[in-house]
Amino acid sequence: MRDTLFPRWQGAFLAIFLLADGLYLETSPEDIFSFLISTIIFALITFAYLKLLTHFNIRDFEALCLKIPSFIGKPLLFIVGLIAVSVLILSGIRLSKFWQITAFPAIPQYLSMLVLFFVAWRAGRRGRTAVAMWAYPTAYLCIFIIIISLFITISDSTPEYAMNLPKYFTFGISTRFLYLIPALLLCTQTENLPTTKHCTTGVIIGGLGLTLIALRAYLVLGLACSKLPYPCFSAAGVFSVGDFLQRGEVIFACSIVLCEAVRSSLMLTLAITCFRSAIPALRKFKR
Amino acid sequence: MKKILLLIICLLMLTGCQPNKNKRVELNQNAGQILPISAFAIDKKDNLYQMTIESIRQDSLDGEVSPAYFTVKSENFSDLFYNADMMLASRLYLSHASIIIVSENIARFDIDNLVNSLLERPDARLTLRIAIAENSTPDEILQAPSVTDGIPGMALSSLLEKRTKDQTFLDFPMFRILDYSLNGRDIALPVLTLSDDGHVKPKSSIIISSDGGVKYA
Repeated sequence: MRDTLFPRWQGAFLAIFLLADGLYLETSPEDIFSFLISTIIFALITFAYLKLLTHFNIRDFEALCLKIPSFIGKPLLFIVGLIAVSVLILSGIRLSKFWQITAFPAIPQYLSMLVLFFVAWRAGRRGRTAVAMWAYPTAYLCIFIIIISLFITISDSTPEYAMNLPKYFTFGISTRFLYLIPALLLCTQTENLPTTKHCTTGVIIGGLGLTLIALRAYLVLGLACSKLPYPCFSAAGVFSVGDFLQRGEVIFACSIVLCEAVRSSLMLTLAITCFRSAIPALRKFKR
Repeated sequence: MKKILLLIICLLMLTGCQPNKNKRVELNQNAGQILPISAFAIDKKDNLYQMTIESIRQDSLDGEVSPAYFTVKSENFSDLFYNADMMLASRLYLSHASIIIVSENIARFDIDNLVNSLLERPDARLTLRIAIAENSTPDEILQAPSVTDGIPGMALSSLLEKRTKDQTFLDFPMFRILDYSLNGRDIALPVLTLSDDGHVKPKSSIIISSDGGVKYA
């Protein structure tokens, strides 16, 4: 893609992409370990992918597709575009279901999906660079809110759950991290060497964020997680200060929904770019 | 084109809600009004559950809030909330409810059903506290005047919060009750009773085992 993304913007994209899953996480001890292991593995994959691109002097995935024969490159771009669309639809389905169960039971699910797609279209229509410009401060804001939320609710945790956690260690990879692959292919560029450092840092921050969110839910709610539709969301609400600070889970959820909106905007704009690159006839249609 | 798209989206918002068979709270959703409640008391008499609800009235001219009470009966906990919703032009809003007072029998043998019925409502908070009424019925405890001005249920909630912080009572909000029950562990609930002058006073905690056995902390 011809636009340029600064390394920190790329890292912010990857962190936000992962953190967008923060409301829907599984919270068993085995899943917590799988998030941690997946963070390490995908950080290594990110590092290796970008190092390979740098080594072969390839700017990004699109440039790679243009270098290889077009009968391979264009279908590959098209397939990645389809994957981006599927990620967008998945985000719409799960967020609309979340809203319906928690906050807006009267609003039809398809309507809240349309709202998300509309926001994604409006935010992403000016291209990836425009999305990146406000994704970077959004990443800082969301990470700050998540850290505060974790900090203030940790006092409600049951310490013996933490002490018993190591005995549940299993080696597993979370399938949630597979959705990082389209983001990795479409959001990273290797114009500058620090890209590798920032992108790897973004994946680690996003993955650790997911791990800590799931861990907090397990330590605070324990087996109660199995009875709740969104335990990570519910765990954020156990903190209260008198009568004026009682809906902490709403602030936490807003930060994650913001990540979901960025993810959706990104996937929509990148899908369109992939299709326009793969099918030249589409270039005559404006965004 | 964009204006037409915006118009279509606005028109779609005029559609009615889709009722979810598993969520009774939506029945009165279109009424658009909610009735915040601060506390409720549940007892069991003649094989029927009886729930007394303390709602918050905010319609006085001087802006003061005052409690209003009403009672519903049913054969199970879920229908209690449903029947309460049916009595109102608005619907119950449990988000401000911070305490439930129950009889000892309900605490010993029905606490799991009570918690599960509360979990069906998305507005019920996991930080709800459950207390046991002793030597009085739960609704007598609920409606007993508070020593300070204010809504009795909210005063009770503040009392429990304070006594939990100074460790007079063990800390068992609803999410902990649920966790410990699923683990088969004992739970501890605070006991409230009436003093000679008719005010609520904390007594101690009761420890309830998974088979319904009790002992005092």
